[in-house]
This record gives sequence, C-alpha cells and structure tokens, in this order.
Amino acid sequence: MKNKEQQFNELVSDHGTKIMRICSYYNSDPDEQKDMYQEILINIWNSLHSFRGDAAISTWIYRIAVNTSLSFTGKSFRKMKLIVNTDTSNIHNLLDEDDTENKVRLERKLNQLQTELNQLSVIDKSLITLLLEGLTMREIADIIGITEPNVKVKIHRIKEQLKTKLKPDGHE
Amino acid sequence: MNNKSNKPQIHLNELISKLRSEDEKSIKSTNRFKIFYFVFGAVYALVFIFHFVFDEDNSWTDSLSGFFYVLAWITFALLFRKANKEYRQIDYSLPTILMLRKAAQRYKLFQPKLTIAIGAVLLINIASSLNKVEIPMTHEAISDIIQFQIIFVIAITASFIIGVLVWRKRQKPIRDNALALIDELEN
Repeated sequence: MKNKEQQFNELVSDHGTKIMRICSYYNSDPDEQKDMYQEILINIWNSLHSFRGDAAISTWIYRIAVNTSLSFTGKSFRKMKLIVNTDTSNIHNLLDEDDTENKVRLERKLNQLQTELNQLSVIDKSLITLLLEGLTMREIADIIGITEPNVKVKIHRIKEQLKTKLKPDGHE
Repeated sequence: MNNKSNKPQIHLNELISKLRSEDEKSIKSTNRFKIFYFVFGAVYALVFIFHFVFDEDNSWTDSLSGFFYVLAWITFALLFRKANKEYRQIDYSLPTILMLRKAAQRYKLFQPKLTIAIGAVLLINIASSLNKVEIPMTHEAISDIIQFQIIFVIAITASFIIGVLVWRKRQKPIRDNALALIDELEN
C-alpha cells in the first residue's frame, strides 16, 4: 500500500500541469499563481484521506482546485481576474467558434472577451474555467455538486450574456 | 501568454516536509489537549469521589457541586475536541456546494454546540452557587449567592457580546460569502 507521501508525489506529477493551468486562469501574476498552486497542493495533502476512488481522480483534483480558488477569491476577490489565452485549446467551447482557423478574429475578440469574463461572478468564472478545461457538463456537475441540467442552463446563460456583449453593438 | 511557460517553481520536497511536520504537530497538539482534559477531568472526578466517600463534613450540596463541576468540565472537553476536529478536517474534495453548505453551517452563530456550551456554563453557575449554600441558609449566604449571580451574569453577558463582535468581524463575512455563493449556485 502506498504511503501518503508517495500518493501525493504521484498526484502532483500526474496532475501538476492541470493544477497550474487552473491557477493561471485566475492570476496573471506569477507570484499569486504560485501562492494559489501551493494552497491547492496543501489542500490536496490535507484531503488525501478522503479519496476513496469512488470519483475519478481528475474530478477529485478539480474539486479541490475549484474549492480552493473560491476560498482564495475570498481573500483577494476584487483583485482576481480570469485569464484566457489564445492557446487555451478549449476556447471554442466558450465562443462556439467552430472555425478554428479564424485566428485573427479570435485574437480580436479575445481582449474584449477578457474584459467581459472579468465582469462575471466568481461562480460563473469557476464554471468557465472547467469548461475551458474541456470537461463535460456531467463532470462539471459532479465537481460543483449541482445537477447537470442546472450546469447546462448556467453555461448557456453565460454564453448568451457573452455573445450579446461581444456583438459590435452589444455594449449597454 | 503561454500557460505552460508560467510554471510556478515549488520545491516539492520542502513543501512535503513542511506538510508532514504540520501533520505531526497537529496530531501532537490534539493528543496533548485530549490528555490534559481527560486526565484533569479524571483527577477532579477522583477527588470528588474521595470527598464524597471519605469526608464526613462533606454536605450533599458540596457533593452535588463537585458533580456539576466534573460534568461541566467533561462537556467543555468534549465540545472542544469536536470543534477542534471540525476545524481541522475541512474537506476541500467535497462537491463545491456541499463544501459551501458545511462552511455556512460551521460559521453560524447559533448552533447546537452553543446550546450545549450554555448548558455547561449553567452547570458551573449551579455548582458555584451550591458551594455557597449553608444549611440552614443564612442572610450572608443568600447575599453571597446574589452577589455571585450578578457578577456571573455581567461576565457571561460581556463574554457573549465580545464573542458576537468577534464572530461578526471574522466568521460572519465568510458565512455571508458562502451563503451568497450557495444562492448563486442554486438559482
């Protein structure tokens, strides 16, 4: 049987990049990313006893990351910004942009999108983060603890809101 | 900005050794509290039994007072242990809404724990008042009890007000934030 330290090391080496990516969604400042990353690792360590394998390990990791980010936002909520990048592979999930070759238009929209995303509430930001990670509605529902239809409604609402705002005449 | 190029540099071994030492410290401190409360409780109980059995001058009011002190002590010990365990075992791997509900519950002002604590405080009050009882009752004893009750009520009221103020400053904002997030998730 693996000891706590071995289990922890394995988790960090397998899922470290994923955790770092989540941290980078929330912070542009590398120091703050590092603080959040460390806090997530601490919470993973402290929650290891509760992992019984009845949830997928990635769901378990995402839960800890999202829950930590919510606590983290509690501390510096006003400073928090959701950062999306052009190289975020699942950005089309958010923009419903099927034409991935249309990079120029995407780049142009990105700045505006960045501004609009930061107007979202902390919960909406968490949902978007998970969507950008390429998770299914079912997986997001498992992580957040609400029903799948509720997740669909919320994400649909966010997308509609973003679409309206991203239209050239969309701003109120 | 490339996500991967911003990889935070964490010294994992250093972090693990810190976490492990925190775990050890936490276990040691829990054990110390457990030993302190239960050994002290047991010693007090033994002293009480000794007086009850062997002390001929020991009146029934003294015995009852001792019994209430022991009961209050044990209640506080158990409450403290439960609270300590609760605060240490915050599970971040729960579904978000469940974690938020637990946080909202944990930072509630009026909860069953408070009722039990009030019960234990009342036991101390009764025990201390019984200590002052004289049979037959004298004016001096009655006056002592009334004086004690006035001081007790002032002290408890002041402690309660301080407790509420501390709660409003520290715990209430966390609870309000958790409740707002729950509300947002559910609607």
